[in-house]
Amino acid sequence: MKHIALLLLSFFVWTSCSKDKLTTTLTLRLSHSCNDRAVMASDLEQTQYLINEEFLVEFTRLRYLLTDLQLETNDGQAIELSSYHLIDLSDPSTLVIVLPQTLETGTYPHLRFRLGFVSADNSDGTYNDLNAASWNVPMQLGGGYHFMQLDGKFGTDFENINAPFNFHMIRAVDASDPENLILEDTSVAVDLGVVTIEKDRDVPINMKIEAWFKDPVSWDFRHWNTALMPNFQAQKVMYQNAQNVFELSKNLPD
Amino acid sequence: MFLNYPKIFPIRHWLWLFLWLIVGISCQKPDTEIHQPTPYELAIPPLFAEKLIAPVIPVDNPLTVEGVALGERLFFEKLLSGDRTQSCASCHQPQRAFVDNTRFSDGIDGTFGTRNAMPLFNLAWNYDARFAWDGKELGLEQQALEPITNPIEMHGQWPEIIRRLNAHPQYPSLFEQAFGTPQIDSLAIVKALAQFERTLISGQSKFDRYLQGDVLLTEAEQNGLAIFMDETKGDCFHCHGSPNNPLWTDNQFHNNGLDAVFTDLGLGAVTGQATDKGKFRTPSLRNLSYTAPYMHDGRFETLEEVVAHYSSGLQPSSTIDPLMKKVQQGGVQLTDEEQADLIAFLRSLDDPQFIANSRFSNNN
Repeated sequence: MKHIALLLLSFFVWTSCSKDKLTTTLTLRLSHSCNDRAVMASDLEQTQYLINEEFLVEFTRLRYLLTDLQLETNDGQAIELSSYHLIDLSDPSTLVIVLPQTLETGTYPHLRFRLGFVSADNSDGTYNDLNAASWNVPMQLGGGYHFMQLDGKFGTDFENINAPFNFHMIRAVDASDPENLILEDTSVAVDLGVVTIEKDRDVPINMKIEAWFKDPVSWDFRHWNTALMPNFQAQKVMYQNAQNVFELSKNLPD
Repeated sequence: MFLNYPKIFPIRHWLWLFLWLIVGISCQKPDTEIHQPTPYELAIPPLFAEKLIAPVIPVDNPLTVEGVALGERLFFEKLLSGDRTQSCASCHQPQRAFVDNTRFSDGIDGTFGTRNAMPLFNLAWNYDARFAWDGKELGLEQQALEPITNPIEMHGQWPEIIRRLNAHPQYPSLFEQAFGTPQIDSLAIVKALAQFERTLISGQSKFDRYLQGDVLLTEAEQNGLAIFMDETKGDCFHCHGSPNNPLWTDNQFHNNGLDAVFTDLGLGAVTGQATDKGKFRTPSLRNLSYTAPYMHDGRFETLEEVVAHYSSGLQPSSTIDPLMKKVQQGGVQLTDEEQADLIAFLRSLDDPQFIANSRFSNNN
């Protein structure tokens, strides 16, 4: 009798454990690096970085728009996490994205998002918080919103890092005929691959800033520095180089 | 003893008497009835409601009809200055979009400051709530504290100002109506001033009406808008907003290339950061026709001088904003015609109804 009772108890314990899957909320933590060095708000206008073994650059401002955050489950279901977030390196509150959903802990084959709005969502003036942040793109360039603003200065020696650059990414537009704009959706689909979600553990995402300037196209700051928004070719190169900019982050040195 | 009375006055009568006494006391009006001020509904322009997020109203200082009225009266009240000769409106004149027309303003002692008075409108949409040219004032209430006692401005003393207002035949009751207490202190004064300032809204310029389909722009104004929004020309929109950001400012801090050597550190003096030296808050481009002279130190008397600065007068420095393009060439090199068109567009942001609004003038 005693053995039967023990068996029953074990059965109940086992079945109750198997039904209660652990759940948690998901927090994404954004970081930034350049040449494997962490880039913090305190580095803006302070720290110089060597790009493509030729250009010394310092950054003044880094803002970008993440959209369409989603997880894919093992059975191929997409879980929509949130629609968009404006990230600003100088504003720590934007570097932590706490998503509202309760998710089962475990491994998911894909964590996906985009840099910038897809054209269907990139309608002019419709997002009041982004309007208030002056994130708009002029109508003569098709309207909508910036994808990224990376501003700074560059030079080729430490004494002369003073030439401005405005690496502003938008939906590429050929505006050579102002009456007939040719728009090309250059929002960047990012798939960070397998992600493990655990309780009380954030998912760290890193932007490798140097990647914007090196792969596959080596960026020449002398050639392309300011007024890049209406530059159709420059926008397409940004799109090419954007493919390997984001990663699930590793621990970076301070 | 009480129980000995029934023969004369039955106990149930005592109970009734007691009950009526209680009822009578509870129905009596209290000696000090607390006045509840009436909520004030901010008149948000349709374009602002359509394009922007909600204005910032602190939870500890909601707008009320009585608070706004008191703030307006205090804004024009010379009792707030040391010698009773100046009010806030002495330097922030409604007919000039709440500035004066001098490079620097003189205080009650005839001493001049070192900064140009900032215009006052659409302040509730400054989301970071950093006010003044250098961002030193965190919140409108905090900002309002400063000039009243500043020795080179109104040079008042709080105890004396509070004494004057308490002795005034009307202010104690006005404060009571606004804040539920006749007690007057510096906090209540700046709260009322801030409430009034949040109601100063400019959103009826010609360009606003153009966006609403009510008027057309001239050819020069249209050209000016195109230059304003063209990254290869004026590139003004990155800092000064756009038709989608009708504040016409980002309310952020930039070094716009005024000086190669800083004589005024601006934000840098507030934060202590070398990287903030020479940065000042972007002013709104609304009402420029009424707010000359321009820049934090009022160095430019005309809009022509301002546009010429961005076109060919930029000075390089360690903190100049990279958005100041072609600094090595002095600026964006606009032609004379482009500069004139740009100014024509800028003047379309003037709001004559705002400066003529009798609600914003001294009605007391």
